[in-house]
This record gives sequence, structure tokens and C-alpha cells, in this order.
Amino acid sequence: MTKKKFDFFDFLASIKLAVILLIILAITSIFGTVIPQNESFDRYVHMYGEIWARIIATFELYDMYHSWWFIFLLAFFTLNLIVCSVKRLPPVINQIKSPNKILDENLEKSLTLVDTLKKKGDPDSWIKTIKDYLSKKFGTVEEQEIDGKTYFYVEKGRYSRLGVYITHLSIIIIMIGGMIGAIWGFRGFVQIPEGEAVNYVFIRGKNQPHNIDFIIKCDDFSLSYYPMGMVKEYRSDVSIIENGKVVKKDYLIVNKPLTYKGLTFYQSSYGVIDRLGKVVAFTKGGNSKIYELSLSEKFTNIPGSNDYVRIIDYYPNLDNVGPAIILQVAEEGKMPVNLPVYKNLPDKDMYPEGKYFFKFGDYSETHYTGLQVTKDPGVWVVWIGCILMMIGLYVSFFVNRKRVWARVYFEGDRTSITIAGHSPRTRLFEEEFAKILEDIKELKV
Amino acid sequence: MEGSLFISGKLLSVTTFVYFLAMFFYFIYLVSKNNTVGLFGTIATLAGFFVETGGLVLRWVESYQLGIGRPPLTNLYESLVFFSWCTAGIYLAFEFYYKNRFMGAFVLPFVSASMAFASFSPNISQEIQPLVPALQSNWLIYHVITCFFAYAAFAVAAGVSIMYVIKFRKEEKKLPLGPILSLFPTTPTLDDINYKAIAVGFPMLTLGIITGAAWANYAWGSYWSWDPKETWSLITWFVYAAFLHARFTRGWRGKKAAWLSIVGFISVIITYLGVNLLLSGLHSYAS
Repeated sequence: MTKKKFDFFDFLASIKLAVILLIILAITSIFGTVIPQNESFDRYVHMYGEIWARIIATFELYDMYHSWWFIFLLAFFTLNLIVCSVKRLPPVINQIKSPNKILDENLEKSLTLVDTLKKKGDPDSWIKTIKDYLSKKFGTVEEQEIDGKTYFYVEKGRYSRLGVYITHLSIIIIMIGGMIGAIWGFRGFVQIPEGEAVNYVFIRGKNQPHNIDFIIKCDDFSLSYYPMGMVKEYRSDVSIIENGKVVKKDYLIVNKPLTYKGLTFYQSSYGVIDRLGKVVAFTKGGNSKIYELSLSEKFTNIPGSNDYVRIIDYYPNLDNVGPAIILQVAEEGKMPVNLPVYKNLPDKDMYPEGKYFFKFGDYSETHYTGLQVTKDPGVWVVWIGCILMMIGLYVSFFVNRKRVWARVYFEGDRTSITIAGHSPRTRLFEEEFAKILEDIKELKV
Repeated sequence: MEGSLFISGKLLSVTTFVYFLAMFFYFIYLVSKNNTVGLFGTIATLAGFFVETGGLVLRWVESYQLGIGRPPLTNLYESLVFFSWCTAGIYLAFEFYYKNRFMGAFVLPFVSASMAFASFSPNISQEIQPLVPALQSNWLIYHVITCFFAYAAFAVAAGVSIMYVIKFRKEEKKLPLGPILSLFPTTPTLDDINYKAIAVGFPMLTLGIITGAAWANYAWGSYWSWDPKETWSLITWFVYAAFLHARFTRGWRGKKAAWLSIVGFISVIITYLGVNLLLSGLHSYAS
């Protein structure tokens, strides 16, 4: 009975389990990148057929990273990580606190990098020479004398073994940060027409508005363009209003959010509420009539006719000739026709078969801005975890633990000098150790 | 269209050619063991690396001349060029450190393939285009450099692991190694190089994921969205984490670890190219 329990603990603490869980996590994570997430059941039936759609529903593959079994897998992985670390950490701390500093027979047998030299000269001079050499090379040297033998011990990168545990701790901290965000945070959005203000946002997944403690007003939304017509910037100028007073005026662009009272607003989309344009229309042929038309997205009547025209779109740089309004013209008895009116081509007739000739006058749009709104009190915990993770990885990969022992005593007519070394990066250290031996061989007193 | 008319385009075309040359020198070296040919391989790789460095710097300068002014790290073409640059650089460092040119025949194919893909694929635009608003951030540079440094280190590790698997298979069956395999570094050395490359790549990948998360949080208000690219980077991270732990587990060292490194690099390729070309998500935003 007790034996069985003990086995289970060993299993939970094993690195082998960690390797297997990491591989399982890697494989299962693929599903959610192949199956589109958060679609409706009908959509899955349409894509994969009834049976697969049911499998997707049963295993919550429609939102697999939040599914019960994926969360369970993550929890199990975390448990493995904690048990594994808790089991291994105390001996490591013990070794860091009180390393084996005396090169006795047992220790000597356990090490692979050991060599003994027999040297002429009195031991006291050798003790001083060896100590000087080691301290020049490694810094502080610890010295002890037991039964007429002198023992030296030097150590570098003592804390490198803690790197792994710092990394493991950081994973747990990141997960805690994620949970704080999931429990006390939210993600929402709001659309605000230019000139209007709101005191609510919509939380994703729910449809009723969620009131916030202040009012946010969109003073202006604007787009700016590169010379070739690509969008350079989406910008919302906003005011924060509390108790009827403007307490903050700022702007938002993509990559420059605005944080106020724990809520962060991000520029995420925009839309056109209405388009307003001025166009001059000439009737073709002799006796030309001229109309100055103020147009919008709704059809406007051309006076004295049964013809209508409206704006359907606008391009800052159409066909590389600059701004153009796209008009939809509906002449009496004909199908409506779409045609561009270029600002920079005032003499070009884009509607040869039509009654009218249009010239670009002026154009403006009214917009609404679409803001993403988030509250995430856990985000700082996540960043602390990330910084800790980098520290942990740095310590485990780039801090190298090296230990060198020496034993000096007089034996027969010679001084016996034994040097031993150890490092987890044996391959790198072997060369260094060989060099130390060579140096010592050449030392004289 | 315009991009290829610039000097940087010319330099990068020369780079593609020179890397292919280097690859062939390394292949011939592998078969002939002629040291002069091997030296040509190294010289060609170095030359390619310098010309490519010039090409990347010039492309940056040219973007300012076009009035756009952004680092050459923002579309598939540039990222492929940057990937080959990082891989060539890390490969050269390992070649000088281990004084063994046989890895060249296994790593240079990644370098030249990525340049060839960048230069010859009809779907990849070489134009210097301005940045969409989402990419206008200093995080872009940190994110891309850390990720690609990691990818390049993993490419070296995968090349070495392929050598390991080939050599180990013969050693395991006690078959004669033949003239080529016996000149490969020993299997423990290959294992060591594999580990060292991953020991550089893994912290870099971690930093790449963290800078990506920080940027996503700054631009979109969410540090993690399980978007396919993010998820694949995490899958890659899981695979290499498994590799690092496998080294401490009996029965998982050596051959299995080498396979994990190869699988890890396949995951890198899917993260880097597969997601952009096959799946949709935040990272296809840029195109």
C-alpha cells in the first residue's frame, strides 16, 4: 500500500513524465490551429460533416484551448512541474549551501577529472604556490588543514543549478497572471461616432452594455495615407469626461493605446457613417446646364430630371492618379452605373454614354471609431513571470558551474599534489582542466 | 517592381548565387575531403554573409530614400533574407569554434534554400513597401530579431542532428563508417553541438515569444490570443523544452534527442512559413 503511493509520487516527480506531457501538449495544440475556432455547430457540419462536428462538440474542439481536457492537461503539467521541483530543490540548495569541500578518497573516486603529481620541494612552499595559482585563476580560495593534509576548494557559478527552478517558478507565475486576467479582467469593444460620447462598452460574448466609471468621447477620427495610397495611420482624438469636466485629452493610434482607470483602449477599427461630397454636373451637348450637387450615400435628385446620383465609395489614390469619388448614377429608364470621378483628371469623361459630365469638387466623411477595450489586472504578474523566466534561462544556460579541489601533503621525500575538477559542462571544462594541470606541472618552488 | 532596381536587390541576388556556390563546395568537400575545396566553402559562405549584410543595410537606407524608412524585416521576402543571414552567421561561428567544415553540407542547404525561395518564388514581392499601422512599432525589431536568431540556431541544430542520426545508425549496427562518416565529428560531439545550438536558440525563442506577447498586448490589448502563429511558436517551445528535459532522462538521450531536434525544426518551419502560407490569423495581417 505505502509502496504504491510512493511510486505514484515518483511518477509525478519524474522528468520522463515532463517530457511526455510536453510532447502531448505539443501534439494536441495543433488541433486548434487547424480547426477554425469559435464557429457555430452548423458551420462545422458544413465543413466536416455531421460525425466530425459532433466529435468537435464533444471534445470542445471549437474552443479547444479552453476545453476541459486541455485545461486538465495544463493543470497536470503544472502539478508535475511543482512536484518535480519541490522534490529536487532541497538537495540542490543543500549542495549550494554546504558543498563538499574536502577532496577525500570517496570524492576522488566519484570524479573523472583527477590527477596527482609528485613534486620536489617542501610542502609549505607548495601550499602557498598552489593557493596563489588558484586564487589568481578563480578568486577566493577556501583552505582547510586536516591531519597534516591541506585541502583547497574553489567554485564558480555556484547558483547556476537554481536557473531551472527559477524558470519553473516563472511558468507558475505566468499562469497565475493568466488566471487573474481570466477571472477579474474582461475584453470588450465600443464604437463611437465622431463627436459623440459613451459611458459603456460591450463585453465580448455578451450583448448588453457594461457601464464604466467615466465618459469617453470621440472628438475626431482621421485616416492618413502614404503617397501611394496605403493607409499610414488610423487616429482617434478622444476626451475622457468625469463629472461633466474633461479630465484628459489624448489620441489613439494603432500601437499607441490609452489607459485610464485600469481600462485600456486600443484603436482597432473604424467605419464610415456618411460620405459628403460636392460634385459639379454638366449636361452634355449644346446649351449645357450646370448643377452644383451636394451628395451623400443617399440618392440625390439632379434638379429638373428623374435622374439620381449618390456617393458609394472614395479612394485616396485610385489608379495612381490621386483621389477619386465613386458615384452611382441612375438615369431615368437605365440601370444604375458606377463611375469614378478623379480630382486630378477634371477633363476626363468617365461616362461617355451618359447624359452628364461630372467634376470633382470636394469630399469629406464622417466616421465612427472602433475601440477595443480591455481590463487585465493580471498583466503585470505575467510580465514579472516573463522577466523571471529570462533570468532563469540565462542562469541555466549561460552561468557555468565549475569546481576545483586540491590536496597537498608531504609523502616520503616528495610533496603530493592532487587536483580534481568538476563541471556539468564536462566537454568545455575538460580543456580548461587540462590547462590547469599543465600550469601546475610547470610550477616550481 | 521597383525594389529589384535598387542596388540592394542586386547584392541580394549575388548573395543567393554565392550561397549556392558555398553549398556545392561543401558538398564536394564532403565527398572529396579536399581541404582546399572546404576552404572555398568557408570563403564563399563568408563572402555571401558580407554581401548579404551590405544588401540588408542598403535596403534599409533605400527605404528612407523612398520616404518610408523602416527596417528590412517586415515582409516574407525580407524575413527569408534575414533568416539566411542569421543562419549563415551562426553556422560560421560554430564552424570556427569546432573547426569542422562537414556541418556546412548540412546547414548551407537551409541558407541557400531560403534565399532561393525569397528570390524565385513568384508569390513573394521584393518591393519595399510602407508599413501598415499594425507594424509601426519598435517592438517589431526586437520581436523579429529574437525570433530569427532562434530559428537560425535551430536550423544549425537540425543540420547537426541529421548528421547524428545518419552516423549513429551505422555505429549502432556496428557497420563500417566509410570514408565520409568517419570524418564527421564524433556522435558525442554532434550531440554537444546540437545541445549548444538549442541552448542558444531556446532562450532566444522564449524572448521572441515574450516580445511578441508584449507587442500584442500593446497593439491589441491581449498578450496571448491562441492565434495560429502564437500557438505554433508555443508548440515549437514545447518540443525544445521536451528536448532539454530529455537529456536528463535515461533512454531519451542521443538518438531520440536528435529526432526531437529535427521535429523541433519542422515545427519552426511550420511556425514561420506554414502558418502564413496556409492558415489565417493576426500574422497574415501584414500581407
